[in-house]
Amino acid sequence: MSNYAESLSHLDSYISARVPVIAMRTIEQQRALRLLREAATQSRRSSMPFWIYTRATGLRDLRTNAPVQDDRSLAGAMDFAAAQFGSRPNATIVFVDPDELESDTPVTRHFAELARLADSNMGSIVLITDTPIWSGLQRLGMSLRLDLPDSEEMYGILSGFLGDHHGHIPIEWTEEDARRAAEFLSGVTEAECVNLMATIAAKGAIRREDVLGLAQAKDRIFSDLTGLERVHLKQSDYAIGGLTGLRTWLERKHDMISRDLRHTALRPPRGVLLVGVPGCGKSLSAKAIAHDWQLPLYRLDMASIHGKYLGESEGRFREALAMADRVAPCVLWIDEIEKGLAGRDDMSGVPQRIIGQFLYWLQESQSRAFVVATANDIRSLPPELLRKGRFDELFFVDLPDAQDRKEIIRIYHHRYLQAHPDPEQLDRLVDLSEGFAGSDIEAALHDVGEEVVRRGGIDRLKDSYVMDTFAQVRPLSVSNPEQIEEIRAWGRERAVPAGRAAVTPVPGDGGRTRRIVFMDE
Amino acid sequence: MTGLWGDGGPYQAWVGFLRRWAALEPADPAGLPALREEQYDSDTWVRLTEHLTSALNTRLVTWAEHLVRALNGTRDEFSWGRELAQARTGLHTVRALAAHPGLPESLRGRLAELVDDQITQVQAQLERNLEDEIRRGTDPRLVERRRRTLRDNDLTATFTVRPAPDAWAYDPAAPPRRRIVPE
Repeated sequence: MSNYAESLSHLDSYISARVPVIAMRTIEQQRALRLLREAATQSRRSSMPFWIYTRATGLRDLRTNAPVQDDRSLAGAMDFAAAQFGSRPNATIVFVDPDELESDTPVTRHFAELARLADSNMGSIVLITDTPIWSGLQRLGMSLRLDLPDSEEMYGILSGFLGDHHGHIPIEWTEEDARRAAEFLSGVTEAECVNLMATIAAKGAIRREDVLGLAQAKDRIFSDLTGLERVHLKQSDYAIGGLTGLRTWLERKHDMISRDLRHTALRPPRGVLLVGVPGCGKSLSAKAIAHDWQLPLYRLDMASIHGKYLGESEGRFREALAMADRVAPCVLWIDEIEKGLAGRDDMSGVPQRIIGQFLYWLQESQSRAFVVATANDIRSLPPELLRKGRFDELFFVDLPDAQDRKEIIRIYHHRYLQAHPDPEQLDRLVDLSEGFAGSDIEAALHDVGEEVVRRGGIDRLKDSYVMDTFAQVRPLSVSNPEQIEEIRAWGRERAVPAGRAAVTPVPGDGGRTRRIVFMDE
Repeated sequence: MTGLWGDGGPYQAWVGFLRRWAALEPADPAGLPALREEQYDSDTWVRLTEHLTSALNTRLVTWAEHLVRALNGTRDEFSWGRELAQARTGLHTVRALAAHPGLPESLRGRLAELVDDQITQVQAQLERNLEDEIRRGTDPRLVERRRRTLRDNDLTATFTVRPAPDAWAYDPAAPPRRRIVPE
């Protein structure tokens, strides 16, 4: 049952039960009023009078919209309500968004008194508000919450919009496209949905690619992204070398992130945890996924989550996850997740509660927020996070093998030197870079790129300069082989290789030797 | 009982209407018959005009009470101005009755003058209240801002501004529907 239908069912019961105060909490007044009118216009209620009060319109008949009195003040409407409750049974007055309902104020006291009067003659007050209601008033009645439209209702709104524009502008969308768009628009209000669609339609046509464009455009309606940082992608973020296993897996998941899953028991892909050797493209992968999938990328900075007051950290984390649900579909990038979740023995209990929140969200959230979490220090990750069912897959990102290094060298050589290496030079660089992380290769070729600029062109640079630069790099696998081996030992046992299946040997580890061959030799 | 007294005629129709109208009960002035002074003896006509002035006076007093209560309930400048602007709706209703086409023209003129004079007095009273605020030591800048709001939403504007045909008669429950305007 949709949220709208469920709310209607509850409201229907409360009206029949003549509950004296019905508090309806929503940020969408129009939908709430439509719900109310639907309940009021049922034929069995034809003899029950309903009035509605808003600040601007004053008091009106809910069914006919005819004004009831000249006095358009709230106090005037409350007096009218009191007169109706005193003189006839079954009167219902709807008050839209009255001020100061949150605390014990003269207004809430007055409403409470009105509710008691209503209760004496089967009257009812309906309060439509986007704020909580003072408990003293709330306890006199029942409350219900009208949440944002779900995908089924969103589909109806989209269909209405497309119907209104049929024959007016070219529309390429099929029903399946509209269904996907409805899924993408979860988390926005009815009015925001119409605004987004109208903005797309204002270009003169509604194209098939606009379905994915909706995901990109959606965050423009959220002025404040609590706890999340929108990451705008540069062209250089798109290219990633190696990680073949991860990329193949992601291709399979890509289809599922935008597929209509209503008639299945499946949930949208939850995400992936990338652990492994520093500098091997874990963070870059998050950006590349967002680009390939054409989804907005948000970064959840675990360090900024922690506050100094009791409950502050948990509150911020909860808000950030709720925001991720709202902006979905998206890629949610959590870099160095172990830093936010570490400290399980912390006496404050904050890390444990955050871990609990996160695990619950991973398990229960139905939004299309695809998490890409990265971790370097796997020892501090809580074991429950690594259990199957939390993330869709746990990948181990190892040092790139020769083939991956070749790919990575090609990418950065072209980026920083604006030229492709000749095959022979490429083979030598691949050989020289054994044990390098992707970031080592990038740093080396960046240095070469600076030299090219300094000398005024790649033609003025000896090939040996590139080789020398590579030879001078001391990668982490050489300077700290124990750390690398520890990470790799963990990865071999517990995770799926993100690259090709075989784990690349660390130099010196398997007895292989390396000889640097200079061009001048 | 027949003829004039059988159904009370125009006199009874008017008096019945005025009683309901003064008590803010549902009453529609559209169907009221025309009154001619020569139809009635002078005492009857005086009684009828007294009913009229009394009903108008009662409505104006009620209106003023509602206005004062509404103004006192506001907490910001916008709401104060909005209450003034919305209060004009009640004044339009009173002025419309004073100018009812079923009334003789000379009477209409006198009643309209009476009503407008009262409205002018309320506006003047609100202005005097602001002067009192200054004497009581209220920040002159706040008083000046309020004076501006009062004059921007002048009640006597009802003399010149025709009532809009129910400007807020939109359907607040209608779903948002839109069709874009292509370039």
